Amino acid sequence: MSSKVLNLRLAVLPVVAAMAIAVAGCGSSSSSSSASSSSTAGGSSSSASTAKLPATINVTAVEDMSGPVAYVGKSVITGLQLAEKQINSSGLLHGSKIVMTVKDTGSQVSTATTQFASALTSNSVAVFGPLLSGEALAVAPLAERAKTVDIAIESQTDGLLNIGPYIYRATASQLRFDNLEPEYIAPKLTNKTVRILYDSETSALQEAAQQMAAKFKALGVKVLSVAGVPGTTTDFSSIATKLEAGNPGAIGLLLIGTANPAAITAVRNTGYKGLLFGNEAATNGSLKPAGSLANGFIYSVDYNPGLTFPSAVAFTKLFEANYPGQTPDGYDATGYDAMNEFAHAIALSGSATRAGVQAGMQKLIASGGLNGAIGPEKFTGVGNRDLSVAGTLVEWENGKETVIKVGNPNLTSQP
Amino acid sequence: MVFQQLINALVFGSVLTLFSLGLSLAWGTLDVLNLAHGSIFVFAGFLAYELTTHTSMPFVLVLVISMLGAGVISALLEILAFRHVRSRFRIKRQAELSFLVVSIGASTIIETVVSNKTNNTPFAPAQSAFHVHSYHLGSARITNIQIIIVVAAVIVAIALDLWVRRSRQGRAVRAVAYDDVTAGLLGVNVNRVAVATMFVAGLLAGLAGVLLAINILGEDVSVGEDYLLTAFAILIVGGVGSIRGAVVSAYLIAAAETAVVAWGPANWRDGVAFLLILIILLVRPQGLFARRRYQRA
Repeated sequence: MSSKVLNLRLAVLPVVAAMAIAVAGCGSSSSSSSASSSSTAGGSSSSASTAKLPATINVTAVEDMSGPVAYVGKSVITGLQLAEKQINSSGLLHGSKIVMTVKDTGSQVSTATTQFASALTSNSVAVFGPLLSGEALAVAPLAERAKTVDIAIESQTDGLLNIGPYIYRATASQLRFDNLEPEYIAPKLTNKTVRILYDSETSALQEAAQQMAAKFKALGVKVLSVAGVPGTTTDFSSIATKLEAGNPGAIGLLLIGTANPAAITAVRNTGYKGLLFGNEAATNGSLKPAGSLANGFIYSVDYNPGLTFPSAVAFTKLFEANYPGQTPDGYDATGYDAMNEFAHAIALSGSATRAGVQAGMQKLIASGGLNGAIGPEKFTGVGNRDLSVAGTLVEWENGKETVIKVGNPNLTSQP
Repeated sequence: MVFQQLINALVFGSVLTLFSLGLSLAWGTLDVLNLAHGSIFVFAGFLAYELTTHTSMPFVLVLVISMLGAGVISALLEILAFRHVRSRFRIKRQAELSFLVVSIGASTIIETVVSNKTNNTPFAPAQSAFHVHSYHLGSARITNIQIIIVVAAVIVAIALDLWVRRSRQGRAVRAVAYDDVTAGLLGVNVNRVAVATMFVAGLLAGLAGVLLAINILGEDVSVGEDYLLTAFAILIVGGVGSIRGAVVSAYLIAAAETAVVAWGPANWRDGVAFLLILIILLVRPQGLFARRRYQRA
C-alpha cells in the first residue's frame, strides 16, 4: 500500500476505551496497526494549527429519512452519527466537537432543495447528501454558489461532479467493481451464454448492463440479449419466460428494490436452474422475500461485514459494539466514511470554515484518501472528487451474504 | 413459448381483475375514485407478511384475516371520511374532488404505516405459510398460486356480477348508484349500502394483495400505486361501472402488455399498452362496455 495512503484506524477493542483515546499519527501501512489502536489521517492534522478550530463545528446532513429510500437514508445517518461520536471522543479535532443536524428530504426533490438551502444559510460548514440522483443534481448548484462542500452520498449520477469543485462523492460507483461478476461467473459456465435484464429507468444500471455485457464478450461468453424493463415492473412472468428461452448459462437481473426478489422468483418459477447475478441494489436484505429461491444469487457491493481489510474489520466491530444485535450494511459504512472524510479534511487544513473544509478535502485527496469502513479508498474521476473502492463479490445464501472475492484495492476500477 | 405467454397473460389479467373490481365497484356505485385502493391492496400483503412471520397460522386464516383487515380499513374510510364529504355536497360531481383528496390522504397514512414498519424494504408472506409448486402443462408451467389466482378471479367476477344483478342487496347498490337521495326515500339505507360496498371493495383489494404477494414474493408501498394506474386504464376502457367491462378490459390490457414484453422491447410495455388504450378511447370514448347510471355497479 502506498505510504501516501492515510490510515483511518478505528477504535475497536475495547471500543469504549479506544474511543476515549486521542490518537493522531501518520499512517503508513495497514499491517502496522493493532486492532485496538485508533490512528487517523493525522500526520498533517496534528501539524496543522488547531487554535483556529472552534469549540463546535456544525455540519448538516440532508438525507432521505422518509419516503421510498428512507431505509438507505436512515442507515447513512447511523453511520454518520457513529463516526461523529467516535471523532468527538478521539481528539482528532483537538477538543472541537462536531455537531450534526439532520434534515429530512422526504425523498422529494423540492423538499431536498428547501432543506439544503436552509442548511446553507445556517452555520454549517459543509453538507452531506442528499442521496437520490434527482435531489443531488438539484442541490449541487446551491452548494457551488455558496462555496460550500457538499459530500454527496449514494447518488451515482454521471453529471453530478461536473457541476463544480465543491461537490464530492463519498460513494463508489458500482461501475468500478461490477466487473468482478463476469470475471467470476464466466469460467464457471458450461453453457457459455448469458442474458442481462436491467431497470431501464436507472441510467447507472443501463451502463452496468452494457459494461458487463462487454466484459462477458471479452471473456468468450455469448451475450444473447441485453434488455431493459420499466422500473415499476412487478409481474416478471412474461419477461422470465423470455429470459429463460435457450437456457442461457447465466441471467443477470440488474434491478432495484422489490423488482429483485420478484424477478428472481419469476425466473426460478420457469424452472431455470442456471446462475443468477445482479447488482449492488440487491444488498441490505432486499432478497429476503424470495427466500430459498434467491440462494446462489451473486452480486457485487462496496461493503460487507466479511471484508478483511483491517479498517473494515475495525468498523464492523465498532458498529456491532455500539448497536448490539445489528449488522452494519453498506449505507452505514458509507455514512461513517463520509463523516471521517469531513473530519480529516478539517484536521488537515486546520480550519473549520467552509473554505477550510474545501482546502482540507483537496489535501485529503492529494494525500491519497483514507482507509475506511469499505477498505482502502481512492479519489478519482472528475477533479479526483469521486470515490473508488475495491468492491466485493458476494453470494446470497440462506438469508446472508457471503464474501466470494474482494477486488484489488490498488485499482480505481476493477478490470 | 406462445402457450407459456398465454398462461402468463391469463395470470396477470386475473391479478388485474381482482384489483380492478373493487375499484370499479366503489367508483361505479358511490362515485368514489378511491386512490387509497392501492395502499389497501399493499396493506393486505403487509398483514399477511406480519401474520406469517410472527405466527404459524394456516394460510387460509391468514388470507381471511388480511382480507378482513383490508375490508375494515376501506369501510372505515367510508364511515370516517367519504360519508361526511357526501353529506356536504348535494351534487355528486361536486364531491368527487373532495373524495380524491381524502383518499390521497388516507393512502399516505396507510403507506407511511407500512413503510415505517418495513423500513421501505420489500416484504412477502413467509414461504412456509404457502408452499408454491409448479405443474407442467405440456411445454408450459404454472404454479399452484397462479392457478388459485385465476380461479379466484373467475369466481369473484361471476359472484360479484350475480350479486349486483340478481340479489336484493345488489339492487340496492344499483339504486344508490343511480340516485342515492331517491334510493333513500324509497327505503334503502344508503349509509349501510355505502359501507357494505366499500367493505367488499376492500376485501377484493385484500384478496388481490395477498395472492400477488405470494405469487411475486415481493411487495413494497409503491406496488399499489403501479397497479392503481393500470386499474384506472382498465376501468376507463371497460366503461365506468361495468363489472363485465372491467374483467374484459383487464385481460385485454394484460394480453397487450404480455405481447409487448414477449415479442417486443420490454421497456415499451407501458407505452404500447397505453397507446392501445388511447386508440380504444378515440374510437369509443365511453369505454367498451359503457353502462347507463341505472345499470351501473
